[in-house]
Amino acid sequence: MSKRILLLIFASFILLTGCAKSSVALPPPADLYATIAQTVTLPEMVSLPQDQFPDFYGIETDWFTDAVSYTCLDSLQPDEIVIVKAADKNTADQIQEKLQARLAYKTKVAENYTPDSIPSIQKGVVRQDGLTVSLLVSKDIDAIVKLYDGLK
Amino acid sequence: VFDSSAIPVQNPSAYSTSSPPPSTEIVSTIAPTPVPTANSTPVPSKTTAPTAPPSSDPAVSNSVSSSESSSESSSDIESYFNNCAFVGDSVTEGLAQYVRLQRENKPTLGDAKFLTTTIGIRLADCAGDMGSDTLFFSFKGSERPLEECISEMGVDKVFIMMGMNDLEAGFSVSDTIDRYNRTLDKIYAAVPGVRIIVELNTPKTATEWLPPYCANKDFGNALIDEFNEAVIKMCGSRGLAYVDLNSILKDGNNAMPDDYSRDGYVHLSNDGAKIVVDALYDFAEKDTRGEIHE
Repeated sequence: MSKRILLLIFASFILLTGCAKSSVALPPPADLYATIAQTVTLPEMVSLPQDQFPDFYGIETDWFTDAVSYTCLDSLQPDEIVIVKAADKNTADQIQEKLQARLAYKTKVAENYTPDSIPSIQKGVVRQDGLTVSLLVSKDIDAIVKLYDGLK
Repeated sequence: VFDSSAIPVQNPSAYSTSSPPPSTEIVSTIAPTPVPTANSTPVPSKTTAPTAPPSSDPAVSNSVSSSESSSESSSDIESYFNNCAFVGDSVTEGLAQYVRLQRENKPTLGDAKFLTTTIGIRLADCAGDMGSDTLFFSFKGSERPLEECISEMGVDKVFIMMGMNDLEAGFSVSDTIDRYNRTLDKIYAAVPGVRIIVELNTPKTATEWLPPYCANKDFGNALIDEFNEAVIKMCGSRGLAYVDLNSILKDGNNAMPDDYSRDGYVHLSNDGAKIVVDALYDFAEKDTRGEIHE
């Protein structure tokens, strides 16, 4: 009897920790960006205020609860990290669409003007992790993706 | 349940508007495209030898060419830039990034907005002369005509600096001025009553080096000066104010010092951008005092 109880407790623990791990939300955008900046070497980056997200990305401010955007001070370099915590699943999808459009435009820019940037942009990623939607363009994209995956 | 999906970038060829450049240098890769207008003329032969900076036409008393003031500014001057947009190509985008950096610590150019792109935008695009090769600004997440963007920005004052990509592409000064006029017409039609202030194009460094894919091998300060002279005349004929962002960035060799350039070519470093910001504050102060006449 006691063995059964122990097994049940162990199974419950595995189930709970497993579920907990798979549903862990990513850290807040600012914290996540700080972790990225500590993990990889980014060029000098400039932040974009949240109130400029509508004009810059087409992302309305009521679509998200928190967000950060960093682009390279040298605007000829492609590095860009955008992390948005969506208000809900529907807005997460809308944000993902807008960030994909941003990545597509960056591709065009690179092809027309900054060919050095093409490899980084081709490896650029838009991803949705729960309600966190991210645009990641960096020479160290593999390390950033690994970081994200490690947070799951 | 975790909803995680990595989405790789789509095949860039799907967005290609031109062949990839043969080198990786950072400048316009736009190949010269025949201008679909009847009055297309060849680009005059130019050298990159230093020439005198654009002269101040005595008949045009609306220029500002000073870098004496500092970036420290009063709130009154800051508010001058509210409801204002800066429109331009990669040079202005560099300015935008510099301003955003400054704004992390202090007010800079009020809450002026920026509509810029490093795609190599030309007046030929804005005027509608490039057909299927047209490049656009990106605004609110989609590529849109310039005048439409400005209309939606809701600003009452626009500072604009364009034309350098046209010159690099090999378009003539006269065609580019014609397109400037038509671009301004489009903006006025879309935003009646908006005030447009033209910025003279910033200079190039002294290097005679040009990227191998720069279509116009005669591109240099002499051509930029010729274009700026034509811009001044355009402003005079249209009654527009202009800001001289060219001579303030030149040394005794009629070229931009390397320290003012981020890439040793035409794009501004932080030091160069600071001089531009100071000149814009100078303009704002003079305009506020009623010293700018259009």
